[in-house]
Amino acid sequence: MEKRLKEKAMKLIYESSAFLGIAVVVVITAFLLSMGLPSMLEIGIFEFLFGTTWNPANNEFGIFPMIVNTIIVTAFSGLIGVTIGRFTAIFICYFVGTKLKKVLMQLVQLLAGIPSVIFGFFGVQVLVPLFSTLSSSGIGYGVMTSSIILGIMILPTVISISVSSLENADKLHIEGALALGASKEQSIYNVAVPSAKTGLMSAAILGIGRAVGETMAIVMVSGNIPEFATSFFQGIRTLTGNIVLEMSYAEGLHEGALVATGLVLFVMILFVTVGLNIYKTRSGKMKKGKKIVLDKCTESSCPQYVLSRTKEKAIKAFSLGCTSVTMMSLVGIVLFVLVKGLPHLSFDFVFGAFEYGGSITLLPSIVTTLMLIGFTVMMSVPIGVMTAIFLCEYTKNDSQFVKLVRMSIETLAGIPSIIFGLFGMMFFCELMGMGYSIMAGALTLTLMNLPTIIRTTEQSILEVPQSLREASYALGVGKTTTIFRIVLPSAMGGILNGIILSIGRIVSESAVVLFTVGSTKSMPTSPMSSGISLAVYMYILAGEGLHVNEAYGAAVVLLVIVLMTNLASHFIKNFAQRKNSKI
Amino acid sequence: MIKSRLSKLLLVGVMFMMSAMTIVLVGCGGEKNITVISREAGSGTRSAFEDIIGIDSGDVKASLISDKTNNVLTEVSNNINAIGYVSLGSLNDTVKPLKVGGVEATSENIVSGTYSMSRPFELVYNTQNGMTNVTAEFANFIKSSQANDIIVAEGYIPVVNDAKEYEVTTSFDSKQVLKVSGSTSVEPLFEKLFAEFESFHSDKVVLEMTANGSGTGISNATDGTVDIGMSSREIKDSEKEKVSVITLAKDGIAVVVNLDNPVSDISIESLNKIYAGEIIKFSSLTI
Repeated sequence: MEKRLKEKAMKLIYESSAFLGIAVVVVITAFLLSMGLPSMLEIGIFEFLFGTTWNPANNEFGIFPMIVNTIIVTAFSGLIGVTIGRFTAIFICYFVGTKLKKVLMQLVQLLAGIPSVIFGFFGVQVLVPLFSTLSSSGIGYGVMTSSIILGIMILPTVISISVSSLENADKLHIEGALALGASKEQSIYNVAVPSAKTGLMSAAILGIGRAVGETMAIVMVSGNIPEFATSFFQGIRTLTGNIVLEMSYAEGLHEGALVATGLVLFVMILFVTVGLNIYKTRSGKMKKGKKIVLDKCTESSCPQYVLSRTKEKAIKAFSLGCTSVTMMSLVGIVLFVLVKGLPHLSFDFVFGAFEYGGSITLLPSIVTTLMLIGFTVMMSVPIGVMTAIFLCEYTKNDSQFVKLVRMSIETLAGIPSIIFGLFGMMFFCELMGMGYSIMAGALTLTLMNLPTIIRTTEQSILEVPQSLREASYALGVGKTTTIFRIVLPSAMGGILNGIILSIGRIVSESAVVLFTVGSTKSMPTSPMSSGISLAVYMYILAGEGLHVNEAYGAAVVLLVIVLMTNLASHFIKNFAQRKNSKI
Repeated sequence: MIKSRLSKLLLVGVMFMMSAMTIVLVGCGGEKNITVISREAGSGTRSAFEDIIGIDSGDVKASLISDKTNNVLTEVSNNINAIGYVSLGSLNDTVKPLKVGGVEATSENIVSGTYSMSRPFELVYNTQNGMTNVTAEFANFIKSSQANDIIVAEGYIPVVNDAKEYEVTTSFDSKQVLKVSGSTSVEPLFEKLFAEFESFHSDKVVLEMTANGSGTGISNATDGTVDIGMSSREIKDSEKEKVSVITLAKDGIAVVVNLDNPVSDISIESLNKIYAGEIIKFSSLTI
């Protein structure tokens, strides 16, 4: 009897942690609606969405220019990122050997780990001066710089998803094409790529989703003028920029208008994710049902499967070019930071004791970052692992509840960090009275990191062979004990990897931390005290022209941490693979 | 002939890059427009500056908005056509301060009243809650001669005449936290003052400071989240209903241009026209 009760209790715990995922999405949505909608109605929905003047001092809140700017920047960065990313993926998949492929993918992961403040800093220090000498307005900020920076930032998303979908594309198709005498290029571009279409499209959409939600880098390089972009080189403001620039001092209707801006952003992202899902299901159906009707082909619309020699060469050269652009931007940013930052690193700079008005030291920010990591991991890992257990071990048939849980996690993963920041600031800091504090930051980061932990844990639990569980049950062991003694230990590699991935995310996150933890430079004394994380400190130092050298130094430290988490994740993955192959 | 989708994408990509290059290259040559740099709406420097040149916040036609004092300095030092404004105390030699109406931006000229662009640094605290012990002690300290020395050394103008030497009136047994937020312009001075204040209280006082703009500082003090809000502009009457004001110092606002810019003197009127978008080239200033 007692055992039964225990099993039931454990199931309840798993269920409730899975329920938490749904609750979070509901609360965030409710919060955005309840804070944003009334202000939107007060301003007038039409005036808010289509008004062209943003001037809080005169109670004018029109965000139309920012909506348009967001769309323009997203479109251009998407064009850059998706073009380069897709061809890089093709190159990585088909034109290099397995060893080089591994190295290139590892580099792409590293690019993914670089904090957005470093991208922004690179933009301000390199691209802005470059374009200001070239442009007719003499201004280097604006659509051009923003699109290039964002384009580079979405590359890793586009590349890694494209690569995996190309890998999953039916090998038989390519082999068939090759067997029919098609050249390698022909079979890749006319057979493999079309058959991986859905995956490539998802990669593009996810990349664009990321571009819409990016904040800190954009604030640094866009120029922040709330007017329509009429040229490539002119200060512009995006939706995310609007929130991060004005949120801290906004009050009353102004504050409401900013939350409403967040609401608009949220809806835009939702459209992207929902659009992606519809596209996926539709193309899935098409694959099963429809066959290409050949006799509908006329002379002009029939697909041409033969590429001319020059075209073949051109496409191959272009793929190579795109790959070099990707790698060069990674190497460029890393070298730029290292060359400028390494000379300014010293023991006192990194670990010196903090003094008011004294020289700059990173120690308090490192301690704050570590505290943030500690608390976030402590809270997000149990919840995330429990949810993953629920999703893998307790759901034989997909009930409505399970579908809802999955959908919530997917939505949570797509929410841009600025909205988490907004929510954390107003919910934890203000509503719950925690003020700017490390705890409020850790709570917000926990919500943000749940999807990562759930996904990686789920994946690794699914990889645990079913026979292990069956053997355990056959020996009369209960389900709970089986999960804790058999399943979780074998899935440890994946769980650790999830933790490391979220640590990387916490370290590089700045929007959330700026809004919930604040920017107090002194040593934190308790979890409830305000502090400054390394990434935020770098952002502030970069803003203060007087301390640019220190900003480079902080960037080096950030990069080193990112590199370390990257390597750790790589080794754990390898280790887990080796261990699993032994079983 | 229908090309494969991929080559279409390729074509679009190449065309985009080429058109981007053309736009970049066509842009060269000719005198460029003035890059008008403003601070963000919550900045005290901005409101003080706009009050002085007599322009409504909504009429400002800026080309860039910087959310940090020193972003202005960086951009001006890089861009020959840029104009911006910063606190006199945070001025450095990477930019050129302009004379305003023929008067140089110096502390002496602010004290004598000939340099018109100055504003107060104010500290505010919640009137209803009153001052905490440590706030009261710090308020005593900033009226002392030691504080005045620091204010002068940092390039600001003290407001307390015949200041006396600081004496500790309340000494603390346990750690006291002073929570402060607000103006990025006041922050460096506040830190220096606090460092001196701390030395009198042998590490029993802790500063928790967030520099996030005057507007935030005042609103944080109003709702009681911080002990002291820092402002680099005068406190509005509507705000004085909830908070009390201590004036810390006076500061000048320097109008800055690139070191290579030939302009060296500017009138308040021209500044108004530049920020209103009526003058768009430096060459039309001299006429």
